Formats: sequence, structure tokens, C-alpha cells
Amino acid sequence: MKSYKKLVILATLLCTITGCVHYTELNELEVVENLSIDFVEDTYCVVASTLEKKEEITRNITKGCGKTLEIAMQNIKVKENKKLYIAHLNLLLITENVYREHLKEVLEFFLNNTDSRNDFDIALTKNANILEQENIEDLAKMIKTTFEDTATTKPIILEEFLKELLEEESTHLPVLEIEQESIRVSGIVIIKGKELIPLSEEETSLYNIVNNSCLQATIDKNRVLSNQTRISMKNEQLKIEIESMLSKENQEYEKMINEKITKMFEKYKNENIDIFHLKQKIKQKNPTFLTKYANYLEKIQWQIDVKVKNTTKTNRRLPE
Amino acid sequence: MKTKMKNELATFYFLITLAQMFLLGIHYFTRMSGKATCISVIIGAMMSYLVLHLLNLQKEKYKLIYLPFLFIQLIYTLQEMIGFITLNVVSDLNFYLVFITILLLSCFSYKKGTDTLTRAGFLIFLAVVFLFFISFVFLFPAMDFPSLLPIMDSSYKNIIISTLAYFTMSTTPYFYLSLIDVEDWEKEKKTLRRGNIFTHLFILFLTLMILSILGISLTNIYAYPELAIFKKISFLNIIDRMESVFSLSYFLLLFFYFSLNFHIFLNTLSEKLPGAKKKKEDILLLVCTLSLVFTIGIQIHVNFFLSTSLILFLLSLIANKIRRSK
Amino acid sequence: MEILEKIKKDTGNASDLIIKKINITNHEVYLIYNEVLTSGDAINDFLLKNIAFLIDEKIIMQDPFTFLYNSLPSHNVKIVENYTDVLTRLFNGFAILLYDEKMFSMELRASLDRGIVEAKNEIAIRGPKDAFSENFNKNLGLIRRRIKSEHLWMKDLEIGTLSKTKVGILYMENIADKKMIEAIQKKLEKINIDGILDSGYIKNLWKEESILFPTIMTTERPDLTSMALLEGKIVILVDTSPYALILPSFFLDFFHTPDDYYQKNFNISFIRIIRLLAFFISIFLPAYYISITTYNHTSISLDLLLSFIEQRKNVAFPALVEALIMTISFEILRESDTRMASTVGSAVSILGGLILGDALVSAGIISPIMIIVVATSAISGLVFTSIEMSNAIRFYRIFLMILASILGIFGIYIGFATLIIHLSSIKSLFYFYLSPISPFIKTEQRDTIIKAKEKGLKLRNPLLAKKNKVRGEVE
Repeated sequence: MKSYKKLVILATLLCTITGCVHYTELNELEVVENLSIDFVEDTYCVVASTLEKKEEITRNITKGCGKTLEIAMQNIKVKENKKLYIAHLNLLLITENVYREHLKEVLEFFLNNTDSRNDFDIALTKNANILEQENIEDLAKMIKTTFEDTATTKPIILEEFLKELLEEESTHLPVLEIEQESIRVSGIVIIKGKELIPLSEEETSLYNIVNNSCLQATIDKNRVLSNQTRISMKNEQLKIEIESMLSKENQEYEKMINEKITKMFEKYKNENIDIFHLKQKIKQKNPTFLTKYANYLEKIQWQIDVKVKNTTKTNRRLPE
Repeated sequence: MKTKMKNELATFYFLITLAQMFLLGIHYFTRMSGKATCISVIIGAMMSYLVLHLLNLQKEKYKLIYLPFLFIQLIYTLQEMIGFITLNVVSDLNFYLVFITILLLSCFSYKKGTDTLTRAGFLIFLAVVFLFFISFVFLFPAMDFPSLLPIMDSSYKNIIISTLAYFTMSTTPYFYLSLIDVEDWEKEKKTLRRGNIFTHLFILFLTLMILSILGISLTNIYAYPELAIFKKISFLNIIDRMESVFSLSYFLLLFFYFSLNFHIFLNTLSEKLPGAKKKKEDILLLVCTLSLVFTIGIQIHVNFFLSTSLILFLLSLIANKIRRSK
Repeated sequence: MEILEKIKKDTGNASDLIIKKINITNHEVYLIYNEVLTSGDAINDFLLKNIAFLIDEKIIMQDPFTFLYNSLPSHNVKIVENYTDVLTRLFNGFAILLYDEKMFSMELRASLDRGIVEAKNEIAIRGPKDAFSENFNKNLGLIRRRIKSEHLWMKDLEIGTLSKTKVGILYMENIADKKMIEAIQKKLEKINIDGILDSGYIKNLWKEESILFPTIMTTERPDLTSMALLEGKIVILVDTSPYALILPSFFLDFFHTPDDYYQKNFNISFIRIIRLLAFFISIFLPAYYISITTYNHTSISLDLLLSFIEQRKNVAFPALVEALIMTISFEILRESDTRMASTVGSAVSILGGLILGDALVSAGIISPIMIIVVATSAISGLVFTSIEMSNAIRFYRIFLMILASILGIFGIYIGFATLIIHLSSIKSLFYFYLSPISPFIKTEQRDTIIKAKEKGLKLRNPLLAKKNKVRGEVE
């Protein structure tokens, strides 16, 4: 009787187990590499570039539209009824329209999606059909390489973007645009509320230098090989120390950088924009300064110290 | 609950406190006190250590009055475990399948005896500490400690509430520790003090780690910030995307807590209810009641869970006082 | 004589039973022996030659029984007191001399074993290479050669109503726990069986607490046996079995080999970590692969994911079926390799492995990555010398594969928790199987996974050694 009971229980359990198997095979997945979202005439238009490997990796473009983002994603036509898989998403491109009106829906979609990992890059694009260009490459890698080489842009992942937006109310997005039928990285936009403030490439490089986020940069034909910036605050005075190593000696560099940074700060200060996100740094060093002065941008006094280290890397000079 | 292991009280304290921490979620504290959670953790820990000093911990008997509160703990833990599995780990799974599996595993552990749970608890402790240590090491570069400043970004009232919540959470384990039959109480109390300090330092470092990596806003948004940080572990493309392996520590802790409550509930039934010890009938009764609760869709709120934990501790204190006065 | 008739009748007039009547100066003496169990040369050289000398010299014996008892050269001469002893000694290779209803026996055993040979299943890279054989006395001799102490005691038992197999319980009297020895003796005395043909019979009749994991170690190496005795463990030797049993055996004992004590500590610590890794890889790798290809695709990096997708396109079966096909094929290959004659065996198994693997991939039954996964896990499982440990690992591997195919990585969590609970519940004799980890013994941590320097290994395991807890000190 005991073994009979055990058998009945086992059979019941097996029935529950066999009926509950809902797995997805690997070959039923369509891996999405890049995704661009646009909102036009009350509809979301989503373009996805998916990856496939036969002998080499090939990219395919698919489109879908819908009233909501979920419907648009469902409407994306995939081959052989495969399931769209966004866990390996590299880059999300949003247009200005989406940023201004529908950013919350887009972010909620990715936060609530169990497949999504939120460590993909996010960028702004001026052209909604950017992914439909021919010979599209790994765009996220392109942004990273440009940043590492020239510091004329700055990549950001969705999580960081969200964190800065919620805490500092000010963040940035790299910009991608089509120029003469090829895709180009063109600087960044600083986000303040619903405003998007575009920075030129030189301004982006200065921004990166002050925020100590880059090692190499090119400023006015001067190649910076390494850079370190320290921001400290003493007695309500902000001190920015920049230490750079140049590829070629330039006596004018220190003065030039000082002038450029001050000019850039003043330009945006007049529009009441904290272009270098100094608020966060002041909050860490001297929080009472912010509570004392509501308009800290006007009250702040700062001092920029630029030092150039001796160039040791390239010291071979050709004769005149 | 008889055990013959050394350091059992310290291990239990660590596991139960950390499990309660994960059941409440770190965002329970950060939503109240923001970055000052670290301060409330430190003060709460000191208060809990003081209670340990003043408390005369000794063996208590099982009492029927604990049953309803243990039942609530069981439901809440199960609810959190199923939520964690279906949301974070494997999203295609059927709710009932997870439910049945966890219950079957608990019945298996009950069949092996409560002694086994204490020994398994030590292994779980080693696994949890090992996994978290590896994650600490790989996440260290991602930690941004200056972003924690200024630390006092919340009102004193919220910090006090957060401290009290932490203090409640860290004193509940004393109820469970009083049910363990230990060979040498005096020696174990010494190791328990060390275990207490280790646990609170661990939780403090975990809190600092989460806040420095995610920041206060993301910690409040995410349902499982403790697991969100595991997604950031990346080392030379080898240890990459292994958050599901590190989440094993989370599951083991919750399962241990669930099993402990399961065992105590069933041991109380078998000892206190009249009649011969009927293990199988007790298990079936408990399983059926839990299934009924989940089918109806009863959900326990986190504050209710914390209150029942507090009540359990207070009841054991009162019982202790009554016994001592006798 | 009545007794001779009784012997003939009880043995069914066996053709190998020899009863020789000898007349020594008017005294009738009978020599009874079993032709196959006694050594003919020894009977000729030590018995018959000396008896012939007595006859030739016409030596007068007043008390022939006592005279012969004292004069005949044999190292083991005992008086036979009752009829049961007669049969027992006859079938143990003794020759019996009967004079006037009085008997004594002389040990003149034939050597029916293969001598001391090299260990085949537990190979030593650096260390002694001798192994036990089927002869109880030789096995005991190999141990006594290593432990030349008067404290090495043995309790003799005879188990098996028909086989009457000699079983010895060895222990160090000045180290081992008396309660443990008494418990073992009691348990062995309770065994009621007709025949014990190998130490494995005793192991099966022992009723181990776990049906999967071994709690008794079997070994053919005398050095490992001696090490166990010096730790305070008990060794059971069985006649006609080349494997000794060591009790109690803990989980981590199966991760140690005798070679660990003949090499540098640093190297050994590294190798033990590799063994522990092999244990986890063997159990969890196929299940982890199944879970990441069916439920948890986020755990794979992009390049690998695209590669796996391409490989799985041509495969007809789900991952679990692939894994089971590979696992079963591997087990069939392993079994056939063991049973096949050595001249043909290795070549056929290599061919089977190559063709089977290649053919299965070409036919689209399995993907190439599955071969790698299953082969790695199977080879990792063979790191252990104990076949029972490998079998336990195999069971858990299949159990976890099934769980992973139903529940994804949650199945692996469940499997891990089950493994922990199962291991924590097992007892070896009356000690917990996972000792010295759980329950935690601080002094023993110096020789669990990491092997400390010799200075740190001074203390014996406090669970087993109740006396002489420090090595080198003798009370």
C-alpha cells in the first residue's frame, strides 16, 4: 500500500511537471544588436538591427510600428516566427521627439522587461532611419572608440543615464547622425529637464577633461596623451587642477585651456546651465554652499590650475 | 532542536539576519533614510549588540502561541521567493511549479531532521560568504565612494524610523536562537557576540556597496537592488553575465529561513498537539494550508512581516521573564 | 576409526580429501589433509620426511602423540579439541594428525594467491606500489611491516555459515575509540549470511546511511590503510579479498590520495582545489549548459550565443535529450571498456568515442558543444578512485540535468540545496559525513582542501582519536 501511494503521488507530480515546460530554444531567438525608437504621428516606430551568424556575422534590419512601444515591438516582423531577444542589446537610439515626450514610457519598458539588462548604451539620433543605412557597423563600439581616441563624445549606459537624471537632474547623451550616407558621431547633448543643449566636438572634449572622464583628447591641434583632473573646494572657492601630458610641447597650452574652459562656463552660465555638473561636486565637498546660495552659479568662484607634464613619450624631432 | 556543532548560534544569527534583510529589501531602508541608511545600520547594530549583552539567552520550549506568526513568516518568505524566481531568475516558469518545488524541498529537509538543517546552514553560510566575497572583489572597481557624500541627506525622524526597523530586524533572530538546544551556552554566547559584529559589518559593507554602485535613486527603483549589482560583475569576459550564479546565495538564504520556520512550525505541532507524533499528517496539513492561501491570493505586506517578527521576539522575551520570575 | 568414517561421510567422500595411514614403530597414525588447500611440497618436506626418519631410526616413542606434537617441524601447531575444529582446519589448509582419538593440526597452507603485486586501480605516482592480495596473512603482514607497534591489535571473526571467511578488525589500541570498535564488532557479529566472498559483501550488508555516497572506503593499498590506522580509524580485512575496508570515511577523504603525503604541500593544495573543482564541474556543468540554452540565455555572451545558435540549427532534439544521449553513450563505452579483453578494449573504445562523437554531430543528433560539455563533466567525475563516488556524481549529474531542463537555473538551485541537505544528513558510523567542515573542526582545516606544513599537522582528528591526540607522543 505504501509503495502504491508513492507511485500515485509521483504520477501526479510528473503530470504537473510535463505540462509546465515552457522553454525557448536558442535557434528561436532573434538577437537584437541595435534598436532605434521614434514617435511620429501618434505611433511608435521601432527599427531593430538583428544579428545572424552563418560563417560571418550578418546584420538584418526589421521595422515595426504600434500605438504603444510593446505593440510596436510585437509588430516587428522576424524570420520564421522567432522571438525578438533584447538581452544582448548594444545600443538604443532615441530621437529628440521621443526624449521630450515619451522618455518615461521607453525607460519603463526596459526596466520592467525581464530580459533586458540595462547595461546597453543609449544615444540620441537626429535621423530616425539611421539603422537602415547600408554597411552598418557596431555603433556602440564606434562611440566607445571615438571617445577613447579623441574624447569628442562620451558614451553612457541606460542605468547611468537614469541614475544621473534622477539624482542630478542633468545628464548627457552622445549624438549619432547621418552625414553623406555614413554614420557619424557628433559630440554630445547636455540634458537639463526637457532641454537638449548640443555641444560641439571641442566643447565635448573640454567637458570630458573637466569631468576627468577621458585620458586622450585633441584640443585645437594639441594631442593630449593623458589627463587627470581633480576638483576640490576650500572656503567656498572651487579649485580645478588639470594635469595633462601632451605629445608635443606647447607653452601656450595651459593658458589656452584655461581660457577655453572659462569661456565655455561663462557662455552657459548666462543661460543658467551648469555645463560641467559642478553642483554634484559642490554637494559632495561643501553641501552648505548650496543651501546658503540658491543661485550657486553666480556665487561660485573658481580657480583653474593647468599643469603640463614633460613629454616623454615622443621626443624625436626632425631637423628644421 | 538539538545540535552538536560549534559556532552554530553565530552562523544562525548571520543567516537569519541576512535573510530578513533580503526579505525586507535594502530599499525598505533607503526609501526612508536615503544614504543615511548606513548610519541607521550602525546605530541599529549597536543597539542589537546591547540587547544581546543584556539578554540572558537560554533554551526555550516550543509554544503554540508562536504558530500564527510563524505561519505569516512562511507565507511572506514563500511569496518573496516565488517573486524572486519568476521575476529575476527564470521568467517562463509557472508559479505553481515553483511553489510545489520549494515545498517538496522543505518537506525533504524536514524528513532529514532539524539537526541536518543546522549542519546544512553552516555550508550555506560558507557558500553565501564565498559568493559575496567574490562579488565584492570584482565589484570594487565599480564602487564610487565619493558619491555617498553627503551622507546625511535625510531628516532625523526618518533616520530614527529606519534605525528602529533595522533594530527590529536584527533582534528577531534571538527568538530562533532560543529554540536551539546547545551543548555549552556560555561558550556559544561568546562566539555569538563575534557573529553579531561580523553580521552587522557584512550588512554595512553590502549597503555601502549597493549605494555606491547603484546610487540612491536606482536602489529605490529596483525591486531587487542586491541582485542588480551582480549584473555589473565583469572580468576579462570570463566572469561576465553570471548574475544567476551569484543569485544562488540569495535563494539559499531565503530557503534556509523558510525551512527553519517550516521545521519549527512542524516541531511545535508534533510536540504540543495531543496524540501520537504524526509527521506526515502535520506536513500535509501545513502544505494544504499554504496552497489554499496562495490559491486565494493572500499577500502579506512587508510592514506586517516586520511586525510579526517583532512580536515573535517580544513573546519569547515575555516567556523568558515569566520563566525567570517563577 | 569412527572419526575417519564421519569425516568421509560429511565431506561426501571428496576426492581431494586424503587420509594416509602411517605405521611408526607399531603405532598407527593417520594423516588427514585436503590435497588442494595444503601444500604437497610442505607435507613431503616437513611431515613425511621427518616421519620417514623416525621410522628409519626405529625411534621408540612412549607417548607418540606428545612426541610427534613436539618434534614435527611446523610453525603453527594446535591441538584439535572438537569435531567442528577438524573440518574448519582441514578447509583452512591445515594437515591433521590423528593418533588414538587424539588429534593435532599443523599449518601447511598452499599458496593460492597471486603474491604481492602492484596496485592497478589506485596508482601511485610517487610512493609504495605494493597492493593487497587475496591472502589474509600476507595483507596483515603488509600492514604490520609498516606499523611495527605492539599497539596494533586485531579482533578475529568468522563470518559466513558455509564460507567461514576469516575477517579481522584492526585498530590502534592506543588511539582508536573503544566505543567505535565495539560497535563495529557488534554489527559484524550480527551478519547472518551463508558466504562472504569479498569485502564488498560486508560493505553491502553494513546498511550505509546513504544509498548514493560511500561512507566506507575500500582500498587495495597498504600505505593508505596504515595511514588510516594511525588516524584512529578502523580497518576490516577479509580473507580472499584484495580490498580492505576503512571506517569511518568522510566526504573529504575521497578527495585525498596517499600521494598527497609524499609530495610538496603547495602542489598538493593546488591539486586538491582542482579535485574539488572537478567535483562541481562534473555535477553542474551539463545542467548549467542546459539551463543557459533553454531558459537563461542572458548568461551567455554575444559571440558564444551566435555560435551556439548556429550549431543548434541543425540539431533535431532538445538540449536534455542531447545530453542524455551523450551521457548514456559514454557510460556504455566505459562499461564495454571495462568488460572487454585488454588486447582489444582500448582500441575499440577510442574508435567508438571518435566515430560515435563525429557521426552523431554529422547526423544532426547532437551539437559539437554538447560533446565538449558532457565529455568534460564525465572526465572530471573520473578523478576519484572510489567507483561509488563516481556513481554518486553520475546520479546527481542526471538528476540536475532533468531539473535544469524543467526549471532552468532554479533547478540548479534546487539541486544544490538537495545536495547540501543530503550530504549533511549522512553519517559514517556515528560521525557526520561532512566533518570537519560541518560540524566545523578548526584543527582539521589544515588538512582538508589546503594542506598545511608538517608543523600544522601535529594533531590527530579529535573525533576519532580519543587517546594520544598529538602525533609522535606515545602514552
